[in-house]
Amino acid sequence: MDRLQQITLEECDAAYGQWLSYGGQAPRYGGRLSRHVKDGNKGIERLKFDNSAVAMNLWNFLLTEEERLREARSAGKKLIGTMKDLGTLPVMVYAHPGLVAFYPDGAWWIPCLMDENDRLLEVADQLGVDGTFCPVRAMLAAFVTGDHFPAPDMLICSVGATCDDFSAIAQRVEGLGNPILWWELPHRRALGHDETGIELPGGACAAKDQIDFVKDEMTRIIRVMADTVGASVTDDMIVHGISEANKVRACLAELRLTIFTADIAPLPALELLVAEMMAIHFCSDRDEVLVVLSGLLELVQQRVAAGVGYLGPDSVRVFWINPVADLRVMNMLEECGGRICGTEYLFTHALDQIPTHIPPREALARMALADPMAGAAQDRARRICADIKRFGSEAVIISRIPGASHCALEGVVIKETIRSIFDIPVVEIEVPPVSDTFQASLRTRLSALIEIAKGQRKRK
Amino acid sequence: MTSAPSTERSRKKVIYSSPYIPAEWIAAHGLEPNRMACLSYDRSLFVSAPVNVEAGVCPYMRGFINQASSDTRVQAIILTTTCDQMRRGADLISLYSHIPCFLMHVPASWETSGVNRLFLRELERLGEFLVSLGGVKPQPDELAATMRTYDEKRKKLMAQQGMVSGKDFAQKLACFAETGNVTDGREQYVPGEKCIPVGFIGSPLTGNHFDLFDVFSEYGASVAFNATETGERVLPARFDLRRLKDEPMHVLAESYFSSFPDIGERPNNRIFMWMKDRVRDHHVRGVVLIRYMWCDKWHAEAQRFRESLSVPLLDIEIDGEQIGERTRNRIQAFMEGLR
Amino acid sequence: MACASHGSVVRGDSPAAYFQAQVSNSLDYIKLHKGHGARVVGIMCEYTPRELIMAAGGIPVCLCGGSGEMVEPAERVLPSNLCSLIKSTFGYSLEKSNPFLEMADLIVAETTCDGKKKMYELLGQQYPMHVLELPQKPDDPDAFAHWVRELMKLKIALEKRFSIVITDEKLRNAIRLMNRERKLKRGLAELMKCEVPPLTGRDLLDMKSLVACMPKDQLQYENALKTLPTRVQDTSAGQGVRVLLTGVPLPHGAERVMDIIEGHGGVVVCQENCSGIKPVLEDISEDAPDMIHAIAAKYFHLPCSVMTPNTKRMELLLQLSREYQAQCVIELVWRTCITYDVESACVKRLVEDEMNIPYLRIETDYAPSDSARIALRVQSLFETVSARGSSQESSLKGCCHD
Repeated sequence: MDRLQQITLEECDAAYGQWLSYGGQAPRYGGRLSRHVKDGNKGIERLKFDNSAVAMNLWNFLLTEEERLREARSAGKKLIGTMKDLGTLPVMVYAHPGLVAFYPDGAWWIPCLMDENDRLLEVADQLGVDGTFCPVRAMLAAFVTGDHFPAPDMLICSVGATCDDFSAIAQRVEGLGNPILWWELPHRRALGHDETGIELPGGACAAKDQIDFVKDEMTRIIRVMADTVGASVTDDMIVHGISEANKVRACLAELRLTIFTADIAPLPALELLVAEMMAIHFCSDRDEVLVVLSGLLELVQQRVAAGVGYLGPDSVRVFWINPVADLRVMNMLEECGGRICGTEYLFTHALDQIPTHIPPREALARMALADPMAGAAQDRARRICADIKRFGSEAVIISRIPGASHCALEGVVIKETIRSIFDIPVVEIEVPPVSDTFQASLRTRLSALIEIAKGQRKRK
Repeated sequence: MTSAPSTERSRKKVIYSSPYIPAEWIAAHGLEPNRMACLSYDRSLFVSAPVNVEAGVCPYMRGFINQASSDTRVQAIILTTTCDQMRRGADLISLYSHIPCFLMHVPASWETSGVNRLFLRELERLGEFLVSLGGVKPQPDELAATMRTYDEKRKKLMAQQGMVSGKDFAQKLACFAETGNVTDGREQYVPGEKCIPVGFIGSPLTGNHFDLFDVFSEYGASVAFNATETGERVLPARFDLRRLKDEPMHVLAESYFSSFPDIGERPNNRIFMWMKDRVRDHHVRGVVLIRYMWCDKWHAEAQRFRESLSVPLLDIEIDGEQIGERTRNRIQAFMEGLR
Repeated sequence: MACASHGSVVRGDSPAAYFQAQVSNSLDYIKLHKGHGARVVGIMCEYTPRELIMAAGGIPVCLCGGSGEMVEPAERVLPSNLCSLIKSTFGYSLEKSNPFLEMADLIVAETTCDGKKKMYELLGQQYPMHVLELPQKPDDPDAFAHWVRELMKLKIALEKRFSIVITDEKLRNAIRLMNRERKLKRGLAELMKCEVPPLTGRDLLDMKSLVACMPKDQLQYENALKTLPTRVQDTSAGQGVRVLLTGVPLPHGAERVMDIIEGHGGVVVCQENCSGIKPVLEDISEDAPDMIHAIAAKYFHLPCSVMTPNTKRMELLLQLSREYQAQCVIELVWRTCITYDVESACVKRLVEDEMNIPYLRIETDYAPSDSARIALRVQSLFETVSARGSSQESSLKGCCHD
């Protein structure tokens, strides 16, 4: 069995040069990763990468998003900043050829990628939104500095069953002069005594009146979008949009399944995290993201067939809950002997197939309500447990997002639920955007988790 | 349908945390509404089966849940989605407690008829929950009568504002929220000539923190208005008595939803305009933002209050404990700055 | 193409497009004629006899404020618990932002409600003003006689101010012109009697002119009367629950509630208010021997809530509800408008007991913060209407069984 090794940025550049000399065809956004360092993304110097050209495409695709947004604007397209719902609205927005959607929320990674040289967190501090808030506070600062994404033509944000810190930060964005179209996502409640529920993608259930309400909200968004940016999205367009989105989701689903069920990890945790993130708004190019992900899937399938991968078959299968603000921690997992075998990064609904047998607005409404954060923590925990069983995870990491209003209590519920069903170790860690001072303690905790899991393996 | 149970039968206490819950709706079902004023100081959640998590947990939520889950007279707990902490608190209650808990979705957005309808529907759903506890669904005229009673009481309560000290008024509000009773006014309060009027705004100010009024008084302030989440800001609008007979539920929903400005509504520009008016009308010279640790919604807007108000702002973070020395010093410095 | 303020796109040469530019059209007209020596007379109520002003060579222009933005400046002087219409009108004067007001050579006002009456005192300190005392007992001959005298005084005041003699011929001519305008407006209003009206209530409201007897306006009314009945129906326009809207007027800029009603499933088939059909129902005889008397009579008949008792309004509502086949009545009351507010109890009784259709009273002001609540109540009203309609239909079906 061949063991792959992750490579440094320098090694990436060298490999890239070699790959080109062998006749490799780079996409238009391709190039040496180090050029992104010159653009300010110093944080990537400290990351370790998958050693394939396909992975380089993935990183290049991610790190050129801002350029794509500016190109789209120059080409006359309208930029819609969709906030918080993580996966549903971009499906609708991309249905129109004149619109591009992106999540300004993604700015939360900028401090990590730019190694804090962006000063976004400092600017957020000056605005009174300090470190006790979720790292998405970088988004507020990004709107102020205007240095990262172009100012969107329209902002749409979900509220209601959403976390407080995001809601508060988004409100500050509006308070600084950026009008927002707010739409209500109701808390996905338990069904009443005589209520018939409708099953949502992902297995949760919602009351019909809640779905109807969200469907009306989708209609309202479409109407306001037409008035604001002059782009009317029809139901036929949405049907097509759903179909295209489902292709991306299907590809990701296959990618995840292949990775999680492989004997040895064919792709590092970090690249998988980045790939999953592509689901929510296609990294501002719905067509190209499919090319990138398909390439990744093909690579992974080839590696699995060839028995090639990272670490070995004895690496501990870890289920990871919540995304990390500092991407280095994903590398750290593998350094400690763990591999990703199950993920729940707060947007699993963006990975499920959108129903196509029902009217498109209702399909989107069901998708929105399937958001794991929209319902009880127990619902989220149940789905996590189902996946733990499906993928055979041996340990669970709950990564708390510092300052996030939901994490403290949600973690308790999820942990208790997992422990009540499985006899596997569960650890909660907190990962700030730049975790330098915590590296040692994080490493210790991850290592301990791996050891405990291995120990339990021996006992079984 | 029979009317409310006789007074001889002991009434079960239905605890709620949010000003969006209409007490009269609970009362009209024959149950006893109680918005607790004093909360537990215990630092772990669920005293009986402690869940040890402190970081990131709002002290108000913690105190509320601990108090509610340990009071033997509590028959049910009603929480709302107005904050994430309470929303997740409902998850914890269902995991660690046998007390029935109802989580009511209070829409954050307020500008569409859809969310107004949603709020009305949630009230109806709450009613179904109250019936499941043994309450009796009121007829429209019974509901209207209960609403009239509460409206009169609030009117009586508000008539005392300005006639009693800020602390006394806050205590009266708390008593009304807990028991539905309005205590009579004492002798008219006249702030000292040199007293500097200030206004409070922020998170719910519980009985645990009424000594803040004393501290401010000690340093020469009189609290002219209390716009915290337990203050007069969150009293519902007076009912339109002409519509009460025909559409009491609509009147109830309208008075409770979006009739008072709130920090968590989206957009929330109303509360800033409202505060400017209050500052002007009450001639206050300073505003005090009192917020719980981990309360993001108030915390995020501190700077915006500071920038939009024409008077200085003091931002106090409280953690559920007694007022510490540091806070006292800050209050003293603030008041000296106002002189 | 022009876009209607409420979102629909209209043809550039259509009456709708013309009236969307109403303010600029009126302004151009006024400037042109003022330049040729015409006098601009601001009016603020339907009790003001336009004929007298026109006979004096004046151009009557409506000055009623409909902008919520003008309320705040007004509140620096006026109490906040005053009707938005009054505050908005006054606010314009403080901000000097109503060009018609600034160009007015005279303002004619009436002692209708207390709020207006006292506001006029303040307005009169800045602009030349003539105030008519409106007696408020419509059935009292002495009250009417007083009204006639007030109009005589206005005639004299106009003659003196504008150095002109108001002859019978001029009066007759003015009556003829105004009758013509009223007839055209009645014709347009009557289009709403159709089962599926060719326009919405908002469309009709938009056609209410700011300037009396502007030739281009009248041309467009004629155009509309010719083209609308034969118009290929936009499937959404003109359909919905048939609403009789009564109560306070909706000046230009204050159409929010109309938009809410028609945006949530209703169509306002009849507007029984001063911005609707009420002032144009009655004409003045062109052959009347005493024209001042005839003018006074027509205007004195206007059933505003300031009148007591206001039985004519109840009769009118009953009549209109039948003619226009209203399925419900919505009464709009500007907050603190005491007269309409108190009278709404009678209207409610009339609608529910005699018309036997649902009634809804909406009390609001120019601030849009309660739009969502109003929309919900309107939707609930329409649901009630629909439910009644279904049960009536099924009971009718039941009746048809042999």
